[in-house]
Amino acid sequence: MAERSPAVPSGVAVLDDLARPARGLWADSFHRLIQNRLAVAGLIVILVIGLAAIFAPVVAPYNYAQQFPGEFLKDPNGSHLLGTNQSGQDNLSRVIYGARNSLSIGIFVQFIILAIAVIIGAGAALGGKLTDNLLMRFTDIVYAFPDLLFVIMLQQVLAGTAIAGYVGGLFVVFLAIGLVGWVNVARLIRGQMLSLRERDFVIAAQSIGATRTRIVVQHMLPHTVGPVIVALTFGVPSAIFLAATLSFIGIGIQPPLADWGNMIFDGYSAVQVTPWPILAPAAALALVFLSFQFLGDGLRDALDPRAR
Amino acid sequence: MTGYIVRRLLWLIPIVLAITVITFALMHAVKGGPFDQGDGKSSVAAREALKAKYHLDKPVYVQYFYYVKNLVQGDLGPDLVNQGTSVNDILKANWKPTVALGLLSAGYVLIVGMGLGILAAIRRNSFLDYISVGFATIGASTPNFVLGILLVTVFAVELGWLPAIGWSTGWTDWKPVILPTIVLGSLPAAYIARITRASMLEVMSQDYVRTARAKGLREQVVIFRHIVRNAMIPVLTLMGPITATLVTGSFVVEFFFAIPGIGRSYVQAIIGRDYPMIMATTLLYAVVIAMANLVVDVLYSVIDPRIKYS
Amino acid sequence: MSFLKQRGYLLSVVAIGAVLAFAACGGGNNESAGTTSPGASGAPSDLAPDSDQKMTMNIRAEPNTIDPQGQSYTYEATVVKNTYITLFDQDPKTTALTAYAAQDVPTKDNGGISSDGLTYTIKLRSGLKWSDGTPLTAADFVYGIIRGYNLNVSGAGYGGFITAIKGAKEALALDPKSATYVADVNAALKDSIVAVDDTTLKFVLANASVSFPYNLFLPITAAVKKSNVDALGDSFGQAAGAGQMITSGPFVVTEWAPKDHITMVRNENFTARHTAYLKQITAKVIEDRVQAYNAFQAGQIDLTEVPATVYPGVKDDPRVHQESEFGTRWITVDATLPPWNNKDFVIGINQATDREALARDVFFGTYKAYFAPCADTLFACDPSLFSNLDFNLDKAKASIVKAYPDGNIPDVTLDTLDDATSKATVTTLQSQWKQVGVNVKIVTTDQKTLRADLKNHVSGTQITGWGMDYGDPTDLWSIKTKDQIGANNLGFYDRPGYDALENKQDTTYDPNQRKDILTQLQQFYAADPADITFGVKQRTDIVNPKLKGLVTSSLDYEIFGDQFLADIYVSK
Repeated sequence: MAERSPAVPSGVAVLDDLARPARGLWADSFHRLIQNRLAVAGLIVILVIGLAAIFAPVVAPYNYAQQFPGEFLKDPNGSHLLGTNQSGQDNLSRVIYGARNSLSIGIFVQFIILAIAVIIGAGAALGGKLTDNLLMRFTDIVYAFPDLLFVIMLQQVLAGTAIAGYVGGLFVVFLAIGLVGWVNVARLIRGQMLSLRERDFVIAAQSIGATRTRIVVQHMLPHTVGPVIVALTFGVPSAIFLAATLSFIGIGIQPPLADWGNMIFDGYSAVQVTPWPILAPAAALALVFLSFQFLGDGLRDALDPRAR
Repeated sequence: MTGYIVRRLLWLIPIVLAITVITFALMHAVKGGPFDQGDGKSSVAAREALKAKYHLDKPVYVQYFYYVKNLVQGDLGPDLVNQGTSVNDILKANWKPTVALGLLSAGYVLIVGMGLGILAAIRRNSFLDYISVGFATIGASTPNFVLGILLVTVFAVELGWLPAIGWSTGWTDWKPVILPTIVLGSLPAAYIARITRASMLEVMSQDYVRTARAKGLREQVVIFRHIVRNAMIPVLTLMGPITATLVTGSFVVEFFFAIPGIGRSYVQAIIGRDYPMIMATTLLYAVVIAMANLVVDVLYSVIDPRIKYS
Repeated sequence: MSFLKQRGYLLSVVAIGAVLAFAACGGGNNESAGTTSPGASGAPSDLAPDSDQKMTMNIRAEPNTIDPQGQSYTYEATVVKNTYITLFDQDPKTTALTAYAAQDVPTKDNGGISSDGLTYTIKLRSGLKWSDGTPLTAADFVYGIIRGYNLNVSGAGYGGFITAIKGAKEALALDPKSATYVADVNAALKDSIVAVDDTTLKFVLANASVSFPYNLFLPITAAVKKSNVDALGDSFGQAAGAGQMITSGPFVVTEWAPKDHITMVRNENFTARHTAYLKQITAKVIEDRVQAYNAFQAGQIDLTEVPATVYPGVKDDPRVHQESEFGTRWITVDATLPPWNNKDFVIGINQATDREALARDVFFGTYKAYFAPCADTLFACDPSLFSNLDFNLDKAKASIVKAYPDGNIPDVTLDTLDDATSKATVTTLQSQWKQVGVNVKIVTTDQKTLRADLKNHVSGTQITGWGMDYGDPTDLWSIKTKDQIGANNLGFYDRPGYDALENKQDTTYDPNQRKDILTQLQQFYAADPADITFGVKQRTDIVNPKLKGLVTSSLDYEIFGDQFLADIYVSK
């Protein structure tokens, strides 16, 4: 975060300051982001894992479904660098292929969540008492919604269609998660905006005639970004695990497809025999999550208008 | 303010009604029922008899009517799995451990999570900050039962300091409470730690903070009166639903530690298609969430006096 | 015990092993250290003081009821068999019928069975008592057995299972919603189930049945005290009334803390055998198998199942005991759906299944590879008759070619629950069957949907099996008859030739003749099978060494020796 240098009563320094090129908020943010080493490191890791996922057939030593008779639940060895799981499949290969499924959909769902949450959260905070009331009561209902039933029903209704088979059934699960999972982020945004609405700079902007949209986008949204980014970052592993929990009631990725959440769940019963079926996907997930945290911190710092 | 609270409480009625309709519809739309072939020895005749006994042979809207009629009288219906016991009795017998566990975990989340978040923000980019990042990473990438197995293996099996399963039998029996509380609260605590930190940083760069410092106030006063109070909004926003979730959604932890609560009831009811129990737990969840959100909204205006409700 | 559907126990999240949803009560041989035979005269010499005679066990899932006429799952039977007595019991080692509440096992020779096989006269032991000290009479048995035909009580369990009694079919056809239902059921059966006097029972059958007496071993035929049932109403068998149930077995329930545990204490008024050595048993409900094992290691429970994955590491631990289940595990196939409606295909798949690999890789030695549908200790069961179904890749290919000469083999679906062991099973089968050109699609879903899918001819397969309810062959072979379609005949197997043989064997009293018929039946089945048997589960438990007198049996339910808890004791 760039520290603002204390004002120096020197004409030259002041002129220097003024001589810096003026940039828009977003351009300036980008510039600051790439100066943050941890954030860049996080971004690189995410990109590398993303590439590995895309090129999985090339990168992975074996096919994720290939079984090795006689080699079930083996510890890491020469032919299986991260060991094998309870179905006799190679853990490393499954982690790489799993990145495709878990990550792509985990991230995709956060976009759905963000979109819905911004509309509802901002709408409630800025739209007047009646709108606020109606929207919030609507979120109460969605929050109390029987998600589990909804997911089961969605899956059964879509069974047989093309969507049902997409990513081995995982897409339907994440879709359902997204459709009911936006509530926390919406309330976060609303809470922040309710508070921000009363702040001086907003009132000032209003008084000089700035349009609603401009106020929201240029003045208020950047201040809500911090907690929202954290929420979205946590949302990715949460969605992955929620999807895996659903396999408990039979909704989940169809074997032999690999998904980090399911890999961890499957590895549970054998964890005292060999921890690798859990360690491998958990470590991958931790790495991704850590990267997202640093990237998220970087984004928050970069977008903070106060830190110019 | 009282008017506001009363109005919100009145809103509970249409919300609950809406939830009953949605849940009822979804429940019956899903394949499979409570009395299906293959469960036990049942012959076709036996299964039909059971369905008739619980009015499951009637059209759905008739069943719904019976349900609401009983609901307004406080009768949540008979349990279809433990036949002979009512849902009311089951909830009455098992609510305490779930609520206790939920509240204890919420306390853990608040103290550990918020504490770590505040420290991480104040000592930004220091070792403490990285610990908080690490804490969050582990909390989020390890599903709670995996953490549970780790803790149980170390503290119960190897060291024998704490029990592997079970819940406390009275106020002084504190040992069984520890591991479940930590396991249940690990993810929300990590989440709150990060949210607190983010929110604190956001607030710390505000002008009024600089003003307070310039005024010469002690750092501690600056932190607690000005920073934390303002940074609390998002944390509050989340503590409401988090507490509600902890109280009503402790399924995995209850299953894992064999805790006799009702957290398991919801998922088991869905799996077994135990309709009255599904309805009861969904409604309970709805009411608890709505109340939690109400509490949070009221607290908003307490913490930030500029937010007013009429 | 058929398909044990352990409610709520769904493989879960916590992905534990119990995939194969069903239980078995088993018969067969067993090796178990430190056992004494049941009813051994005199207390054991190393009996610890009475205040130490306490045991904590895990029954693995919470009972839905502990009402004998309502029982359906094995974890319920663990409690019911120890609290209520039935006329007969089974020998733990041979599974032969033994006298329990009855004085003797009825035969044609001792007059217990009439010469036409239609009337049974059974005398009770003298001096039988209820736990409250009052005498237990034949009328109590009549009440209990007739109560079993009340589908409002037994509909979720064994209601409708015993049809040989005269009037039973009529009683089961009555409308349970009718206001006079109970009276009507009584009327239909009052002349067939009779208390001749306080200690004599008479049964009249609609048709001769060799296996009938074995039904009087099932908990649904236990005597219950009418005044107790009336007093407790809906709470009889439920948690609210558990502590007030008046019982007749070695134990009486004092407390059922919902979702937590059931406490049983010694019934001092138990007279059918010696009173129990244990003073108190706490049956905890721990559903997570891995955690149950941890609880054992932490000293919280005295015995538990060893998870399959853990077994290879503790194989040589002297506290570990293994026992064959009395029953087999198989994959039921829908006989009406292609390709399963082609018997050569079914045979071919049997021959393509490498059971040894499954036992080794998927079950880590807790299963024994096995290809016959009947347990080898079952009367007249001859596994060698099924040797054509054994693993043989060449024969498999030949059978498949015979079934589908043009090579257009329809795809096959394997439906299963979503836990690690189930997935390992179907994934392994998928690779094995691929070797003979069969493509398998794997679908994971939940318990209810699994059943619905098979019933609606959607999936075509289900991994299940059969645990023997009692030690007579009829229990097994009858489930493949046409009568049982809609009930236990999940695969819609319908063969008149089979049905004829099955009926005949149940009415043939002479053991040699019966054996011949059963041999023909097995040959019929081997040539036209309805399933793919793949193994026999080896119940593997680890036990606190201080616990002795464990009479382990393949008839055990959830835990080792759970049918004979009266003989277990804590040693010094």
